[in-house]
Amino acid sequence: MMMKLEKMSDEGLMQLVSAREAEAFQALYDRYAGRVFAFLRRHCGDSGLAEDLLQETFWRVWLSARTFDPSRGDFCRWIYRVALNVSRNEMFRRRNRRECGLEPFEGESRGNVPPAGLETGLARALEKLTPAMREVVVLRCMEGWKFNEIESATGTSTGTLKARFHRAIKELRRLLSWEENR
Amino acid sequence: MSKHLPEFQMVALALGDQALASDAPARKHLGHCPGCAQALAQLQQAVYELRRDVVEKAPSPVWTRLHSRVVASRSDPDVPADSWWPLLAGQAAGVLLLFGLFLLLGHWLDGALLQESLSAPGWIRYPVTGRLALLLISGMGLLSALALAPVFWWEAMDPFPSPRDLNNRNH
Ligand SMILES: [Zn+2]
Repeated sequence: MMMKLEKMSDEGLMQLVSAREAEAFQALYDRYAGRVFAFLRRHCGDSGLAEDLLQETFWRVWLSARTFDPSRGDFCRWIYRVALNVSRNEMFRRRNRRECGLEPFEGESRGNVPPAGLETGLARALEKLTPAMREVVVLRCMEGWKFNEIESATGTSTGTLKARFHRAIKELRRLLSWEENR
Repeated sequence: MSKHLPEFQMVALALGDQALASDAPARKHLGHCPGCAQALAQLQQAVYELRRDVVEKAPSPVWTRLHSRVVASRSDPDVPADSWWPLLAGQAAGVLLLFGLFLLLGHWLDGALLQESLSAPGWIRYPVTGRLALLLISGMGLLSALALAPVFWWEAMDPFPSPRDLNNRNH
């Protein structure tokens, strides 16, 4: 059964998931968990938190499988959008709690280590960007999304995203002490 | 020497934008300008590092926890995991409750009116202002219950909860 599921398309698996097939759900998890986890780690900048967000992302996939419509885009984009929303919601919640003094400031939270595979300098520089800047850099550079795709996922206009992206690149340049010899 | 390449073009080149990668004047400029060539190399290195290892091994406890949630949700046949009707039923109950309160208070006012009417002309003022205020309060209650229904539904059901709202809150 599992062998057959492994060869099935994402969309086929999602049909089974919407019929509450746990094995199809596991096949999807095995296929995407690693990528989504890497994305969440870079997006929120916290490994421990990324673990919780990964679980929440797939839980929503399980709950909302019936709302997935393959005619509106492929599963890969869909699950990244779910992950993006889960992470944004959590960051918003945490910011509110911090403002109420209920949660430690960034850098004091658990498991705040640079993502594996990233040069420490770049990982640290990414962490120092604002969440909005980090988001656009991660989606544009790491995931290769076009600006109009980021617009439809985040609701921010392409113009604002482009301006933010270029501010982020400038900031990264400064943080990584790249000399401007031009 | 021609003008330095603008930042947007440098970034597009680093990201591998095909249209700009084959731009002959840009290529020529990069061949002659060490400053631009170095800046591009740094950007390309950053993009390379960001794209490297985009797949990591997900921590195994995540699947264990997730699996137990999935199993628990499947063994609960009364409330399907993606069901929307409990929320809608809750909203309907709220609306009915408000409507009931409205009728009850109206009935009570009618009683008061009967007594008040014995000592006219006080009854003229009382029911008009009272009823108007009651209508206003009940109307507002009904409207807010109806207005909140889709919000709860959306937040609970849609995996993409109103990104625009989130933006307004985040930025
Ligand atoms: Zn130049």
